[in-house]
Amino acid sequence: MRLQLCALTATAAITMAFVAGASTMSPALPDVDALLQHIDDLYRSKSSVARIEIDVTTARSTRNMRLRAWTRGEEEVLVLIEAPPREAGTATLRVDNNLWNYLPKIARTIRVPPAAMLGSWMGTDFTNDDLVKESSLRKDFVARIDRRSDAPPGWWLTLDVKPGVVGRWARIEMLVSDERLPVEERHYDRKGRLARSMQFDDVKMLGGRRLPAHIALVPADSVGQRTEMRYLEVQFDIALSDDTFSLSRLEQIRQ
Amino acid sequence: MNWTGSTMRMAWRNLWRNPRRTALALAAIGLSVMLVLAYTSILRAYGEWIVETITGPMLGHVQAHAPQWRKDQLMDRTLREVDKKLAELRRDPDVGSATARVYAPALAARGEEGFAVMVMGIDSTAESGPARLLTDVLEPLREREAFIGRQLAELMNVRAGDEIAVVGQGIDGSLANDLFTVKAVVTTSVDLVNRQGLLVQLSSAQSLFAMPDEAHEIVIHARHPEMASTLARRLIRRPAGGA
Repeated sequence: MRLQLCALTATAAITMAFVAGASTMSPALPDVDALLQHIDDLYRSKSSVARIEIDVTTARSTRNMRLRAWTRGEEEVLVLIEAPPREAGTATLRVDNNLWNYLPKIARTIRVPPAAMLGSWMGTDFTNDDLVKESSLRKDFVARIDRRSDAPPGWWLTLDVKPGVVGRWARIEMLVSDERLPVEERHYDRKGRLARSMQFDDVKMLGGRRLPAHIALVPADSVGQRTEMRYLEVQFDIALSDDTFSLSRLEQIRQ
Repeated sequence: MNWTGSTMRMAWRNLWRNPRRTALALAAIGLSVMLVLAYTSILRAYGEWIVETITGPMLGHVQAHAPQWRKDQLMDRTLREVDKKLAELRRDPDVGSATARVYAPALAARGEEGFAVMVMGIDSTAESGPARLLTDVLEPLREREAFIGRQLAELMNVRAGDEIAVVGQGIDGSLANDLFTVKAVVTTSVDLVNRQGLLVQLSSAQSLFAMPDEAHEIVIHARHPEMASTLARRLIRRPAGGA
């Protein structure tokens, strides 16, 4: 009887250990470079045309903008503000590391200088630099898998800036779901302080692929301030003519 | 010592016993007093000149800002009802002058190339004069006119009469953009203004950056600079929250 009890207890212990082990067993580690490549291409592909809504909330006001954006590859972006009427027709063109703004009110195109790259883009919490450096995560950072996340299931990646790279961020922490979609990003400045965080949610089918349609950017040092971006419509891999990303097009785009 | 009439008489006699010695002593005493007075005057004038040079153009003797503005200089941290506050301050007998300013980072361009500038909305009349921000300006600014710092003007290749585009961000987050005509290239005693300053009339800046009757700074010059601390403490106790 005593032996039987011991045997039962041992069996139960082994079973429990096995179950516990199975429940904590992590999925295979993903290929970091492939994962970042996938995330980079998520909203862009070879080319894209998107309609986007942006809400900017500050301590004293809330502002809504509707945009249309064209992208081709990693280096060409054209953004046109369609609403509100006061800013309609304002456009931004990025080609390689150059950024121009077209301002219909004064009918001028102005190239954004390097010294102003950290300035706000169109009054949002995104910077001009975000538009230019958007594609260089793999180039400027060394990425590694940091830890497993249980809720939501996925992986925390840490991206440390490579020595000698000049930029705003020293480190980026990124939570990527098992579905290979971004869930959260935390950006740390050169002094190691959390500067802002981004949440990605409302995953839905857009342009034939599942992606987070809603992105919220929250600066760490400004209480009550946030920028929310919602993709309303996206088309991927459509043919765009070469002059889409030209200065002449930038100035005519309003028509 | 008992100062009687005989003592005084003895002293008087002694003065005249050796007139040359007395004259030399008197001359030495007079010269010493004169030197001390001259030294004190020069020292005091020099001190006042230093204070005026440092505080006159930019700092003032007392400054008022919205809470936290000095820390992060965010566009939307503003003082409100500025006209009313300035009127109250100017009625104060200890206040020599009070003027409001707007500071806004922006891009300025004569052609396509943009340059990072600091747009300063100022009362060009109040800021003109000896030991003030604008020492050699004859005419005040009008709407859509600007003074530009000399080094910035050289960098942008801008001269008086040129038209420049200014692009920034309103305090409501909206896009602020307008054209300004350069009225004059100015050299001030403030390096930041010479290197990055685009000075426009306060009302133009308020309109451009969507901040009517608001400003980032009120600069006060006290009638008696040595009483600046007392004045500041008294203004802070005002119901409006220190201007």
